Amino acid sequence: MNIPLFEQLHRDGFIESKTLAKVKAYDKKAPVSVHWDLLTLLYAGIFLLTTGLGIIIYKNIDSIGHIAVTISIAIGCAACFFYCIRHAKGFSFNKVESPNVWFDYILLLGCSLMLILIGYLQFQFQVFGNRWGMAIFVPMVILFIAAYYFDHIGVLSMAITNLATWVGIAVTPLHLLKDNDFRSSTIIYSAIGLGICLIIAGVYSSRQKIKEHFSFTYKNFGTHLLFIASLSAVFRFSELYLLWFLFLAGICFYYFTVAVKEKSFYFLVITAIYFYIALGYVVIRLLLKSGAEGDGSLYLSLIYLILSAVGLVALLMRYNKSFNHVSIQ
Amino acid sequence: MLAYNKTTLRNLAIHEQAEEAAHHKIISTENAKAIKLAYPVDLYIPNLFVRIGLAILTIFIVIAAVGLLAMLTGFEDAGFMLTFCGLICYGFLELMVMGKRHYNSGVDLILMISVILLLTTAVMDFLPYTVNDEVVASFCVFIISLYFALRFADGLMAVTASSALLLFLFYSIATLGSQARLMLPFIMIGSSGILYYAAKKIAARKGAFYYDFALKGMVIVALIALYVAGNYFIVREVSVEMFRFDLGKGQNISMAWFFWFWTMAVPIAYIIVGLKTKDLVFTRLGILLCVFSVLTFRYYHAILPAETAMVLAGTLIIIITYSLVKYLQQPRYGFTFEESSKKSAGSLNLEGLIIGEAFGNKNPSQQQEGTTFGGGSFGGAGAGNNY
Repeated sequence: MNIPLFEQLHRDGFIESKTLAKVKAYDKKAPVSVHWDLLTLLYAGIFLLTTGLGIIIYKNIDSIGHIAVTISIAIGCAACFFYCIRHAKGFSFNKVESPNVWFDYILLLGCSLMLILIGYLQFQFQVFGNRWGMAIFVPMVILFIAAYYFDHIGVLSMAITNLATWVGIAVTPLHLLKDNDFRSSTIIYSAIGLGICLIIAGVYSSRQKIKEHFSFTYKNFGTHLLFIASLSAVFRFSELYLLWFLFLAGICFYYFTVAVKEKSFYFLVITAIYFYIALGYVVIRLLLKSGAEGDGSLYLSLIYLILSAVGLVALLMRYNKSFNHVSIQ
Repeated sequence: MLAYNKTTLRNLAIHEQAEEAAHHKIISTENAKAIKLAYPVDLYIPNLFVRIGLAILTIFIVIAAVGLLAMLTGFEDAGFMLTFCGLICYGFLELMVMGKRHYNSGVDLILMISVILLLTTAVMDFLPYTVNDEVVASFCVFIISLYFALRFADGLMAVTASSALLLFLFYSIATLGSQARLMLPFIMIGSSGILYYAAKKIAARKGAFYYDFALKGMVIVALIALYVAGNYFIVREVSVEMFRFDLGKGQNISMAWFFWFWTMAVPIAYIIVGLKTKDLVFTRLGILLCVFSVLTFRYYHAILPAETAMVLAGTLIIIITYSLVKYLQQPRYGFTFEESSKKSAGSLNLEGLIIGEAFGNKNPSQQQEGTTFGGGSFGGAGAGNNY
């Protein structure tokens, strides 16, 4: 706390002497919070321990044996879920606060171990035979149940990621562009379908008040999936790219109205950026096609890029002024 | 010198303090609102996401504009062209700050970085090839970023200016010959110390109020540099790689004992100072630098295999942090585990995303014959394999 500033407030008559004394006392006595420092250290410790153990098991798998490894993972997983079930406050359609600091982390550990366990079982013992889809479907169902029963947004994200893998796409943000072959049209269509379903799930959960706070996670995954899939449709289907561009523009317009209505900066900015990329692609493509004369079309493209970006900056600034609350949603 | 109105910056600080006081229930929310109304802030400070969006768009604009000019001039007289671009960027920066009252809007930061890059490249282009590149470049960056740090009271610019100053010293002394090179670690330790005391002295002055954030950045750079300058790994590798000191087998750099002592003692000293003064900057830096020291030690003396060391260190860290969390449930010695502010819905959602990224499925699907949806790999984090 900045004492001189509060003294100024006192002089200007905004706070009483009693309050000023309170501020001074607080400033002297208030303990420093090391909450995030300790939690970060704890994460680092868990990361070191698990990575080290993983390497040791990997190096000694011949002497340990797969069955021993599987059983110990299963015991760890069961212990985590046992703890969570014992301490859980029970299901509710509303938000349930976690019973203590450790609960969320133990649940997360249990879910990760469950994924490892099922993966290991399938890889080593082929429990699901050749039905690889089942090896993703079963953990996905468990994750969704865990996310809703124990009320954990992180587990919900894991479940959605698994759902997408099951449909045939990895939606984990960083890997979205890198690993998927978006040239394949089946993947584009299924991504668009899944994106729309996720958005509907998000809207539904907020309308029906079924775990309202999960709504953002659904909408966020769905939105990025839908936008990236339709962008790649614009790039991929060269005969119909104008049609796909109209489709994308329609989605952008929908998001724009929703973002303005809900005063959401986040959706406003991502809509603007995706639309900018699509429009830039179409305009530059048209420019390069029309003017084959030397560098002329290249100049025009660069000028277009500058002007459109300036326009978008002005738009974002204007809407930022008309919104006045700060939130990710 | 300062581009912003001082009263406005002061009012901004009052807003933050009032909010903090209201959060800790020292003043009422109505009181905080009344205070905010009475001390208006007419700066343009956008929301974080708008800030990121504006920054990305500004990068597009600068790159496209420089590209356009380069094509128009036919890539000749690059120095003049870059100087021109740099000056235009600076003009826009002033326009945004003075005209549109931008304050940390994303646009201003990108423009500052562009000016530094463009003008420094231009200067390098004008100079003959015989001059020492690193000395000139670090000097240019230092001058420009110092000016920006003073004019816009920007934290990142203060960090850049301090780092550039130290690099400039390092490169200039390195050109002076082998005697100077032997003294170099001690000179750098001394300069970092002076930088730290300078920052503390300036911070104690009355007018430094507006540069609070910039001075904090300067302190962090000085503290890191103080450690790095005497770190055994850095001193040894710089001597061998940059200065071509020939170290035969069994030979060591001179005063090796001092640098080992420095590597081990400085992080511990930082943690102790941090705990005594309750300054979290010191403890956090101390813990980070401890990691660096352990890695330095392991680089030369690997006693345990890496995985055993990881398991041991991980177990130790978990036990210590767990008992600290238990111990600090009640505030003790001026520290507490209690959060200083409640998690917002936004940070919870972000945490969820990060968990999805870190623990989620990392395998792309592969087209598999015989499966309906073409899903190939399974959701096993850690046991991931392709089929």
